[in-house]
Formats: sequence, C-alpha cells, structure tokens
Amino acid sequence: MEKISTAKKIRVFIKHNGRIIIGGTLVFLMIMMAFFAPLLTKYDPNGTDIYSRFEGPSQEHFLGTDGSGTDLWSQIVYGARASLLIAFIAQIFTMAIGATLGLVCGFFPKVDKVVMRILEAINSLPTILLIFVLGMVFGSSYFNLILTLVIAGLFGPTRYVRAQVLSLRQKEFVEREVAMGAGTLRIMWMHVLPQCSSYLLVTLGSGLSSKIMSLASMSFLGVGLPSGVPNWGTLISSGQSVLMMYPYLVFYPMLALAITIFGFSMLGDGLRDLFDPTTN
Amino acid sequence: MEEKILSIKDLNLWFDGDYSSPQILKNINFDVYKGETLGIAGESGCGKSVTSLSVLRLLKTPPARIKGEIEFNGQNLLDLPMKEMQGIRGNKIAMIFQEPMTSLNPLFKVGYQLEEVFRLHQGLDKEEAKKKAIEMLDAVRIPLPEQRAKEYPFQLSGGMRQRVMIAMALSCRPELLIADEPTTALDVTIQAQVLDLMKKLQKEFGTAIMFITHDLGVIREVCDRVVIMYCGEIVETAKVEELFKNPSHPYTHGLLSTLPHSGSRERLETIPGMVPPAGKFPSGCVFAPRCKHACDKCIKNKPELYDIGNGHSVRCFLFEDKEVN
Amino acid sequence: MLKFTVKRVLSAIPVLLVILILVFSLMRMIPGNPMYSLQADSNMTEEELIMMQEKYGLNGSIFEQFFRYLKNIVKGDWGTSFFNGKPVFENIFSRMEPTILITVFATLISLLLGVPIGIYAATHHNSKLDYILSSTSMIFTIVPSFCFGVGLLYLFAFKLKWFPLSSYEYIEKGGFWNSIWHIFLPSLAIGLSGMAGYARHTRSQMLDVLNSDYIRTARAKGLSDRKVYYRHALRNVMSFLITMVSGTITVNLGGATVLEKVFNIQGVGLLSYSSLFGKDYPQEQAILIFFAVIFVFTNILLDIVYKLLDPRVQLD
Repeated sequence: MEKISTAKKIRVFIKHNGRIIIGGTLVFLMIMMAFFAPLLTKYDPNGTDIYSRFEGPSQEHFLGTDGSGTDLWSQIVYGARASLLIAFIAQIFTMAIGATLGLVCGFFPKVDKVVMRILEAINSLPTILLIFVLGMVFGSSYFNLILTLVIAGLFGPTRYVRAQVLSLRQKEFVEREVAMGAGTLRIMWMHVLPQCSSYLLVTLGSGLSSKIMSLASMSFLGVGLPSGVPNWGTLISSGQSVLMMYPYLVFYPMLALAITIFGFSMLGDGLRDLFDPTTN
Repeated sequence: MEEKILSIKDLNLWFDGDYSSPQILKNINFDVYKGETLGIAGESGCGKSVTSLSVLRLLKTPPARIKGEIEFNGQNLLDLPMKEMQGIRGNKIAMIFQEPMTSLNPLFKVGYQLEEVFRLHQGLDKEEAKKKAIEMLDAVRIPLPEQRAKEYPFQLSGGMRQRVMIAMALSCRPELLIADEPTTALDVTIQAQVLDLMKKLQKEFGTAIMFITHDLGVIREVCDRVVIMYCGEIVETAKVEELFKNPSHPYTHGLLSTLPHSGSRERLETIPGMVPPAGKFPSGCVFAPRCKHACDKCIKNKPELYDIGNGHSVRCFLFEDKEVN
Repeated sequence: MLKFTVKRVLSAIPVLLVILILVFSLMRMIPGNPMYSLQADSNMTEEELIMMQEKYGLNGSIFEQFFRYLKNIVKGDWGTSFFNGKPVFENIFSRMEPTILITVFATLISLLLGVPIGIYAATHHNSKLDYILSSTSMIFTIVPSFCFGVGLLYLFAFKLKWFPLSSYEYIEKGGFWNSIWHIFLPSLAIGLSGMAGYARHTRSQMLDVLNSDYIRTARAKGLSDRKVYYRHALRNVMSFLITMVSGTITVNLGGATVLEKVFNIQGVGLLSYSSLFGKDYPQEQAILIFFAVIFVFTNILLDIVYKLLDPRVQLD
C-alpha cells in the first residue's frame, strides 16, 4: 500500500473536522468573552453618560456609545453572558425533560395520549408567539425565561425519543427481555438512552442556536429578560429606533449574534457528521 | 467457437478513498458467448457485483476508477460517450438486481415503469407502450396484467416485483442480461419459479445471461459456464459439469462443501476464516490465509491462471505443472 | 381518497379542542386582571366593574368561564375585544391580509430558491459549486429573520430607497403588486432564513434518493441523467418537501409577526403583541386559535397532497 504523507493526513483531518475546529473555536471565544467580561471592558453595561451620547467608535469607546451614552462594546460583552448562560441551561433542560417525557410516552400509552396531544397543540402555535405568551404568563425572571424556552422546545426531542422507544419496543431483543421479565426501567436504561444520546448530542448545536435566536427575538419584542440585563436582542430593538442615523448600534449586536450562532451551527454540523455518518 | 458478445479484458478497479485506494478488481478476463449463461460465483465482497455494475458503467466515477476493456460486440463500452451508453442500457444490455423490494420506484405505477423502456428505446407512443408493457407482464406470467400495470410496487409481493424487473429487463430483447443475485431475496419456491421463468425466456429471446450469485446450487441449475471469484480475482473458471465433476481450486472445494447434499447426514462444512476487507487482500495467492494446502510459495508469490484443459483454468500452484500446452 | 380526507379532517377535531383549552388556560394564567387596568384607565365604579366582568364573561370560576366560552363559540360568538368592542374575528380579518401575504410569499421564496439550490448541489455532489452553494445558503441561518429584516430595511428602504418606508397598503387600495412591493422586504427576510433549510434538506434528501436502488434501476434502463433526476428522483424528494412545508408554515407565520414589528406593518402580529401587552384576552385567544387553525388546516391540505403523491401513505 502507498504511504500517506503527513500533509495529506492533516488535509483530510481538516476536511472532516474543519467545522468542529472552527465552530469550537468560535464558541470557546464567546464563552471566554462572557466569562471574562469584566476584564474586557472598563465600562458598566448599564452606566449612562449624557455627555457622550451616540459617539462613534473611538479610542475611549471601542464600538461607540448609544443614546444614553452607554458603551456598546461593554453591552455586547456582557450581553454574551445572558444569551449563553440561558441558552445552555434551557437546552440542557429541554433535552433532559424531553427525553424523559419521550421515554414515559413510549412506555405508557395512556400518558402518551395526553402528553402528545398537549405537545401537538403547543407545536401548532408559532413558536415565537408561544414564547411571547409564555413570557407574559411567567413574567421576567431567569428561571421563568428558561421554563418558557424549555416548554417551547419540548416537542422535538420528546417526539424523537418517543419514536425511538416505540420502534425499539418492536425489536426482538427487547421483546425477549420483556419476556424474560426485565423491568421497564431497566430496558429504558439499557437500550433506549444509548440510542438517543447520539441524537441529543447531534441536536445540541442546532438546539443551542435556536435557543439563542429565540432569546434574541423575545428581547427584541420586549419580553423575557428582566430589564437592565444587557443582551443582544434588546440592543437591536433599541438600536432600530435610531437605525437611520446610527446603524452601527444595530450592526455590532447582530454581528455578535451571528458569530455565536455560526459557531454553534458549525460545531453542531461537525458533530452530526462525526456521530451520524448516514447524513453525508 | 460460438460468437463472443461480451469480452472483459484486464479489468482493474479501484475505489479512491481519503487515505487509500484499495483495488477491488485485479485483471479480470472473461467472455460471454451468445445465448449462453455464465455464472459468476463467490462470497460477498469478492467483487462479483462490482464487475457486473462496471459493465453497465453504473458505478460512480469517482470514487471508482476503472482500467481495462469491456468489449460488447467489439465496441469498448468504457470509451463510449454517456449518451451512447444510455442507448445500450436497458436495450442491448439489461440488468436485474438483488433487491426486488427497493428496485422499483415506489411512486410510479408498475405499468408506467415498464412503458418507459419502450418509449425510450423503441420510440413508441404512450398507447403502444402501454400495450407492450401489458404484453411483457403477461410474458413473465403475471396474472391479470392489465390490472397489475395500474398498481404501485408496494401492492405487489417480492416475487411479483422480481417478475416485473425481469419483464422490464427483457422488454427490448437484450443480447445480454446481467442478473445480480436475482433470487437471493426470494423464498425458495418463488426462487425456483423465477429461475424457471428466466430459463424459458432466455430460450425464447436468445439472450445471454451473466448470472451473479453466491449460491453454487443455483449455478448448477441454470449456468453453462462458471467463473469463481475471490478477493477481486478470478480463481477458477470452467464449464459447469466440469466444475462439479472436477473442482480444482481449494476455494471452490470450500464453496462446494458448503452445499447441502440431499440424503447426506454429514455436517455442512464452512470455509475457515473470513473474506478480507477491500484493501487488505493478500499479496501472494489471495486464498492462502484460508487454504489448508498453503505453503510459503503461496504466501509470497501470486499464482497465474493455469489452463488445465477442457476450458478449465485454475489460479493455484497445485496445478502449475498440470498446465496444458 | 374522500374517505382519507374525511378521516383526516375528523382527526383534527381533538387537536383543535386541546388547542382551545391550552390557549384559554394560558390567557387566564397571565398575571393581573385585565379589568383592573381598564378600571384604572376609565375611573369605573365597583358596580360598573362587575357589569363589565359579566359582559366579557370574566365572572365565576375558570371552569364556568371556559364552558361559557365554549358555548358561545358554538353559537359563533368568539367574544369582543376589550379595546375597540368589535367582535374579535372582525379585528383579525381586517388585519390579516399583510400577515398571510408575508407568510405565503416568504414560503414561496424559500421554496423557489432553496429547492433548486438543493437539487443542483446534490446532482453536482462534491463539486466546487456544491460547496459554495451549501455554505452561502448557511450564511442566512446565522441570524434570526428579524435581523435580516432590519438589515434589509436599512439598505433597501433607507439607503437605496427601492422599497417604501410607509407601512402596508391593502390590495384594495393600491392593487396586488403594490401590496407585494410593500411586503417584499419582510417576506425576503423570512424567505432567505428559510431557504437554507430547504436547500440543505433537499440536497441531503436528493442524495439519499440518488443512492437508492430504484434510481440504479432507472439508470440501468438507459434513462438520461435529466430524466433520472427530474422524473424519478424529484418525485420522491417532493413528498419529503411537503412535510417540510408544513413545518415551516408556523415558523413563517411567527416570523411574519416579528417582521411586522420591524417594518411597522399593522397585521395580526402587531395586533397580537398589543393585545398581549394590554391583556385583551378575547382578542389574543382568537388570534392564537386563528394561527393554530391555519396550521392545522394547511397540514390537512398538505397531507392530502402527500397522499396524492405517495400512494403508500395511510392514516394510522
């Protein structure tokens, strides 16, 4: 057999893992930015300074200031905190609760009927509107915001895990174990979860980016985060009112949003190809 | 000698991958004569399906890379422009596949899928093509052909679908029919019926058949000559009676011993070991690692295909001295 | 086919009922009594407040309220808006034109751009253009559609002045194309966001189909690439696309509501947000149900089309 050069090996590695590398780097940078926000800016993201309103980018203010004289860069940096933290927590809970519900629905037909009807009803409403209504219902606190995002995102993972359980239950080896007296819990633990874990891992990237998008849309519409918490959606919303004069107030928050979502999608796609070779 | 219609000369094939390009076929040479049935046998992974697909050029290139000649009526198919190749497919050379359940388009009526061939190769209009399609369904002994033509593949059983595939393949009375494990997925009784049908239609239409199977029992029933393949090489070729009377290559012995004999109470033997994966084919005699007669020479050197007379050739050092001429 | 349709329509009834319950209870869960804010605004007395509560069906327990609500719905009375006192569906119908137009137009844009790109990318699998198309269409998925909306608004309405800054004009007033001109940018924003999904899924689905046994059969028959792609493969991809359309309808409806805010279009979306902030229950309930009904019925329609395309489909 021919020898493979190191250069070729690297090329092939990048071809297969390039997206994970790019996505991972971007996500890592964003997380670092959120984590070390106080080190990256000397301004308070809520501080106002009426003497420096609508200043363009300068040495003082890296990306300029908004209508209250607040430094835009510090708002973006601190804005990463709320977006990432809430998205991560909400996504983890969506998966955990979705998987549990799916398992329960798959094994208990009675519960299944009720839960799936409710989820179908939820799914028939436009997500953004549903999130908005839930945001109104629960009010603005971190916990309730996460609850809102979780409820709105439950349908997908629940349906997937449920379908897995149903198809698995038909398989011979599961039937055999039932015949041998294996408990429902044991079957779930042994067979269903490992099957579903790769799906959950693969949808992590897209799930996170959709959570970040939902969060931005909510804040854009004026619900969700408690007021005073810097975040990108609110920045875009308030920037839009002066879009004509100061487009950069909208541009930079959008860029931050875009980079984050791009990073998560890349990472998610890369992971999907890695764990689910049938898709490519 | 009878007229050759297909002649494969020094066919080599590689699959180009990221890290390596394993060779799947190595110097394949064989001919198919007019009206005969040539069997190609071997375990899965030996390259028999790839050989048949490369005749119709149905392999994606890349990743496949083909060298050699596939002469059909004196014309090298590998040099033909795609357009002319499409004129030969389904018309002069037709093919039946292993999986009748998935080989028909699920969203088109059976009749339509047959009509397509007539409209494409014989330029018939819709009405004529429809008539011909029903005739063909009748020819493959499908009951109520008019009605069946209006049905979708999912409404037919596996055996019925394979008959439809045969009807489709024989529509233009091809000179060569390539049948890639056409009965493997079917029940034994249906298998016998389908084989029977193929033999009858072959006589009627004068078609040569290249019959690919892993089942030597089927080969004995339908074929005139047989090519045994292993690890992308031809290891033995002979007339069918000769092969069964006088099997020579240790691999052929192995294959034959896996066949059940009626009335025998012996345990079925298996060939020890596994077919190595593509790219890991041994460099000497490809069968040496699994062969009980293997010696140092077999592992180091590659045997030629030795002609031992009576149209019988074997790729094994045991027959090096027995080569005629 | 008729049996299928009837069965499918009947199967929607329990879903609609659950939606009613869900929407009703969600509305009642919003903290704060809407009447109090009304009272504060108009200096009502206690008696007037009670009268108002009775008028709007807000007296009694939540179950009583719900059954009264159901009873009225059966009679065709969906309630009146707290704000302008008009029947809620009158308000919706008078404002739904831009919302529906944006949703439909956006879906068309996604389909008409995404599907051809996906097909091209699949039939030229691993070519340079496949790579370029797949990655450029991905660009459109990295910001939510309202961000595109803001960008398009700035570029094409503010700077280049190709599109109007004024809010929506009804078809009745300026004709169909004038209305399309007014909703073009928001539709484009939503359509481009959705396009990438269509391109990507069409591509992967098409690749799947092209690797299937029946495509090999079609090739072995001697069909040209064109016929293989556009007759045999596309048909199979289409039934998949239909499922995808049904999924994007709600996404695009939701997108339309947000884009209405960006472009200040007085459609159902803006009505919905103002009703929510003003706790106008009957109005908001009706809007949510309106959207859900659109979803449920487009799904029925798409299922019927699906059944026509794919004879194997059966309702369980």
